[in-house]
Amino acid sequence: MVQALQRFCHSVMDAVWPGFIHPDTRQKPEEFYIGKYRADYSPVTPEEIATINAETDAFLKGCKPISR
Amino acid sequence: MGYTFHNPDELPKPFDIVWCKFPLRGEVEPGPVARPVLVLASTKLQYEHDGVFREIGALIAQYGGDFKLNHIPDNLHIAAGEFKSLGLHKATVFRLDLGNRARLIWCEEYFVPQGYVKGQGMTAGRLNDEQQGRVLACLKARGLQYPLPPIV
Repeated sequence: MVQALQRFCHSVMDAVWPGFIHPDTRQKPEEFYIGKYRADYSPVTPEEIATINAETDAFLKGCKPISR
Repeated sequence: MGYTFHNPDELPKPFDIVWCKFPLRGEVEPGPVARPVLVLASTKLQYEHDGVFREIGALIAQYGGDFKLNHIPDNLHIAAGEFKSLGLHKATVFRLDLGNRARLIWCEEYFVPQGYVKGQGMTAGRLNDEQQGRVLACLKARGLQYPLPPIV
């Protein structure tokens, strides 16, 4: 009942205020989801970032900047 | 690795916060995890594949985390009173060192919609002027250049 009322209030706020931020009260404080993905605030290691940067750099070799 | 490109017209701007799936540390129910990243630079690029040219996006971002046990200087600390307006769930530290800086393609493999702010697209939040100033001060203290050099 309370959640239904909250959802109704959120839908009203969404309609009148597009930037309205509403928390999903069904989620536990330490378990937040972005769609189906769990929000993770744990650190990323430099090794992991080095891996992604190497992949991206390899791909970007085939790209050119767009001149305006 | 193949990429499914997001619309380059929805490319985040510097000082936006978006959700990034990388790195994946195994499958976690109900799916992999997403991490908040702070965009420092973004650009549209021309990509050629099999003779076909198309416009794509790329960006440079810094990873955020909770870092509960550490107070680390020269990083952007988003405090308890600030995080909600940025689309975050808790106090967050965006590490501004080069070791936490990633170059990323604007694509579905990395970026997921925030989904909780209607009309805001992929962007979870955007730093205000004061927060942007803190980022610039941190980068200056680290001796790091801003604006960043071109991605390509």
